[in-house]
Amino acid sequence: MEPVHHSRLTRMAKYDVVIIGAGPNGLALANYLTKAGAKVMLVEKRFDVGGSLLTEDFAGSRYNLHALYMPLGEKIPPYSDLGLSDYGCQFARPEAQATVHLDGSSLTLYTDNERTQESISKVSVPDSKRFSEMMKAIDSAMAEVIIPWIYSTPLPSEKFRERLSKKKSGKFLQKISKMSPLQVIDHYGLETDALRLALLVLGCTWGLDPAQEDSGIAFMSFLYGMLRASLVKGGSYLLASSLYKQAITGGMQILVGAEVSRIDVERGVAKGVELSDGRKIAAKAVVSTVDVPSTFLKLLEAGYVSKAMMSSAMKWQWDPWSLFQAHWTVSGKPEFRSSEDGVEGSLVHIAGYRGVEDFLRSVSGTYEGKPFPAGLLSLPSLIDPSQAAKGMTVAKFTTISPFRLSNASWDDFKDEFAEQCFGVWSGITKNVTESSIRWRYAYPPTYIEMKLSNAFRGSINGGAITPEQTGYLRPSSDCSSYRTPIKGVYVCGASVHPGGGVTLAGGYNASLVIAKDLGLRVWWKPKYRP
Amino acid sequence: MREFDVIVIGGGINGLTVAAYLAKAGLSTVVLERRHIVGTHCSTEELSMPGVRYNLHASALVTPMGPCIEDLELENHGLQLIGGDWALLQPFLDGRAFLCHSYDANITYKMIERFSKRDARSFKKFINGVNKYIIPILDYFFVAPSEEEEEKFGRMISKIPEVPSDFVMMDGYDIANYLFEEDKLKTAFVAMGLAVTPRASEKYAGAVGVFSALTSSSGVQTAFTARGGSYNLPNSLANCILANGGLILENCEVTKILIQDGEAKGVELSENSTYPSERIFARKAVISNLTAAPTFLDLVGEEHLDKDAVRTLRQFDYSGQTLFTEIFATKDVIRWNARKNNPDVLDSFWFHYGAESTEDLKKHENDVSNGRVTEPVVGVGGSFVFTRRDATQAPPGMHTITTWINVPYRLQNGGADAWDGYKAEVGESVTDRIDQYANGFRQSVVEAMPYSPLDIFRRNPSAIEANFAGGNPKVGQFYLDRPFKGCGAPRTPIKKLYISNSLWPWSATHLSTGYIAACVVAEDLGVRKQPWWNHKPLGWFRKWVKKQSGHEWSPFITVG
Repeated sequence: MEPVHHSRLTRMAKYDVVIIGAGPNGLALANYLTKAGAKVMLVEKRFDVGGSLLTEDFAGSRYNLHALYMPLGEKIPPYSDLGLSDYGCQFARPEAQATVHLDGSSLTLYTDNERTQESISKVSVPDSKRFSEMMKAIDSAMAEVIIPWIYSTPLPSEKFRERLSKKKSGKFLQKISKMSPLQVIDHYGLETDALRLALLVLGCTWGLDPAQEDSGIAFMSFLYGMLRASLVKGGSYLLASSLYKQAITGGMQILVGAEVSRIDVERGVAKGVELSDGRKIAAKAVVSTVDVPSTFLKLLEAGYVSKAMMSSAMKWQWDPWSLFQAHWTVSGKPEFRSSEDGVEGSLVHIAGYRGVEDFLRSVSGTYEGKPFPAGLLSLPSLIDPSQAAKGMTVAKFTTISPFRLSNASWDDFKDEFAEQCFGVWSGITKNVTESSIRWRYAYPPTYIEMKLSNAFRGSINGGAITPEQTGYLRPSSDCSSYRTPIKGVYVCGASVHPGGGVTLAGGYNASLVIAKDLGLRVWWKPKYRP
Repeated sequence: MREFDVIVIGGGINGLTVAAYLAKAGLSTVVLERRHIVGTHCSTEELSMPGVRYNLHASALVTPMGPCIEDLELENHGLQLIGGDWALLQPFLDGRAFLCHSYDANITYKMIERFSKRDARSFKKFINGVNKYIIPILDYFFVAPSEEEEEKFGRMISKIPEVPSDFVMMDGYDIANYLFEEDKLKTAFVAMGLAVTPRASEKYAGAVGVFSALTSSSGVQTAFTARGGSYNLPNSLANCILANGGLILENCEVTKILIQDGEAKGVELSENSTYPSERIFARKAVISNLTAAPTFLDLVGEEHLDKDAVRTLRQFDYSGQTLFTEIFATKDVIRWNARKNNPDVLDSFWFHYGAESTEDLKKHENDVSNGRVTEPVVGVGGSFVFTRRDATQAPPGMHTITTWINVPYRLQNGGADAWDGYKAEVGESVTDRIDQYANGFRQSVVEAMPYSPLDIFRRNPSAIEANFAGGNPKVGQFYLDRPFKGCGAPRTPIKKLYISNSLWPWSATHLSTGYIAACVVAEDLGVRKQPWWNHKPLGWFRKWVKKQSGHEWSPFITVG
């Protein structure tokens, strides 16, 4: 499609598809459909694209303000389908994935199970064997069942269970699906506190209560993602940029700084969208990547929303907590107290918790509105030097956090709390002190919601991960395969299967459904069947 | 192996401009950018509270001065410039305020009259004389330097009776004295001139700066912001490149230009880039948008240059165009004290403050040349209240303000490194000074953040001394000598290697250096004749004035 004067974009002849939201899913979807021959219009409320794939430059050092860890890296089907490698998106996956620091020493877990086994055996030979057994089962289950499940439309629970029973990992998954994260690690008999702490932090930080039953599969998936994680070279934004550039070259039209206020439906059929400034965009299909409660309750007229949709939106459970993040630029290179070989190259440093008890206490504290200065620290520039200015090191600290504090406002408390978190980092190094700091940026949960309006109460995952909001039921039984009961209206995004995290699966899955519905050419080979 | 017709090194706005023209002309083009995003000195960043969009760098977008908006159809690629009626404001402590109009020279005339009727008549005579030639004068800024052009320009200027015949021997203060008696007016115009050429006390360059200020005040260099912030400009250039089949690769710092037999063959990327140490080849041209010293001394290498060029480049003067930035988020627009005498001052988008006299400016220049930050603050680097034009740049009820002050890069006490410890204090001084001209300003500040020259350099290591325009436009490194004698810029001594920065005139949002480079590369490659590549300076601007005012734009004063 020829580019058109910005004032005429909305008055153009009908688009095939309007996509609401230029986050990772919206961008992926725009690419698949544009290449399939559709006339696509992407509408984004912010002035920047990428959603959670957001990198900001602070005097030459890059802060990734939202998504940093890419669980599947280059293995996501859209990466190869869309040739993103040629559009400037490459990943860096350090072998050392997570290091838990305790009392001047540390324990590191690696992408490679054998190397991890060796590492754990230094503190506990039995645990090293147990861990290895657990990771083997997890690796198999992810490859055989979960990753295919992520990249296909979900089946109703009976069908899913039936298919599952035929898989090698079926029994394993059925067993752990009912467990809580704590029960999973107990099931494998892991005893070393440092190891238990590391696994709980890696698997639960993103929104799972360690004692919450029926979350074993989610726990396992997060753990898998955090033990094989990558960074996007140059900053998370580069993944969004690679999608954006290709889509524009392919003819996609885009409006930024434009908010959709309504999805226009007439006689049960999608007509397009209306913007908050009154402009209308006509289209055969509308895809909302905005959170489900907003989509069902604000963008659609009540008369068109089915009972299941209404119920799901009204009962929607949001994430149990948000995240507090802090960024620093320090001069020079940090030296860790721990003498463990290669520790500085680890993707994630877990620090501040003295043991599992501290982590559990931090979770209950979070429910009471009290954040705890301990969490995950990453130093992206030690893995990817392009992310810091010359002579500097960039750091990002992440910790679970209440959206609302019990006794203060985040505006008043954020800098003080960031200082406490800095102290945790300082404490595990020999040379990082206040005077090392050249720039600091505290990013409380309130900023997450202000930045990404989709992220209600600083939501990370677009909604809690519970059995009632997973798979076929996410967001509701009649919308989890991306179609809604309204002809031409689709949903996709973190509130829809398969949920949050940078997988691009929502966009990938929805592309197939929409392409078929609109009679477009399915130019790619869908990798998995439901 | 990656191969393209054209490689552009550096995704700043002038690099993007060359790439856009050449991609649109059908050449396969790639832009290689070190940062994670294009734009460099034209960006919008949310550095604190989400929704508060700070324009750290280019803020007064003067793109309408040139032909690029129409040639590249940038509005089809998302460009949304936002203008307004009032242009530069400079309030004084006595409650008076210098205020010029964005396009109506008659209104500017009336504003000047408030200071001095005599000076207003002098201004009118000058403007009406010079502006008869304004189109050819502007054309000169959009054509590659040559002896013929220089001679033609010189002959034209010498024919204008209102321009003193010995102006090449005059500095900015001399021109101001020649035209005006009222010191406040001289102060305002010399201050405006400092945005163009950094030293008003320098012969010729200083005069050029003040000339530019005078024509600017008759609407020729009207400043715009863009919807959502300055980033809208590089974003639209990038969209133009992409829509025309060009490629942009961020996080791809170039460390070497590959040269064989005196010809540029391609580039090599940094080991820290997205494609570590990869080589990318150019069939037809390599264009560097980095400034002179990094381009020739680092990327090309001294071994490919003659001794004189190397000497000039090693001494290339980057001083004089170093800005200290203080950004503010406020609860209110700036309530200038001067509003009591002229309520229109509240509508201004672009302002200066802090210089009460030409003596103040002379002292300020002296401070800057000697490693000092002027106290009390003289803020004549340019300051902007963006939300006066575009509410989308801040959350509802809030405003963003960028203020620049001219400073030395190397501080007398401690050099450049001292900025880290000093910047907060300077920021406080800026706040204090503005509060003197607008009581209540300090109370309206929700947050204030300094961004020092050292921060600017860390962010863009090609901007030596945080220079924002590619290098001091002074005699010796200007026009045909820019960046060095014999370079032949935008061509260089290396075959197929061109530059789009540290090139006549200076790098700014008029996109002139990018445009000139594009024209010359395209000529050399036989693709210059394009049906769309034919617009003249001010074309888009005239249409905008018609829409804004209902009248045709005229740079002449008819009242008084």
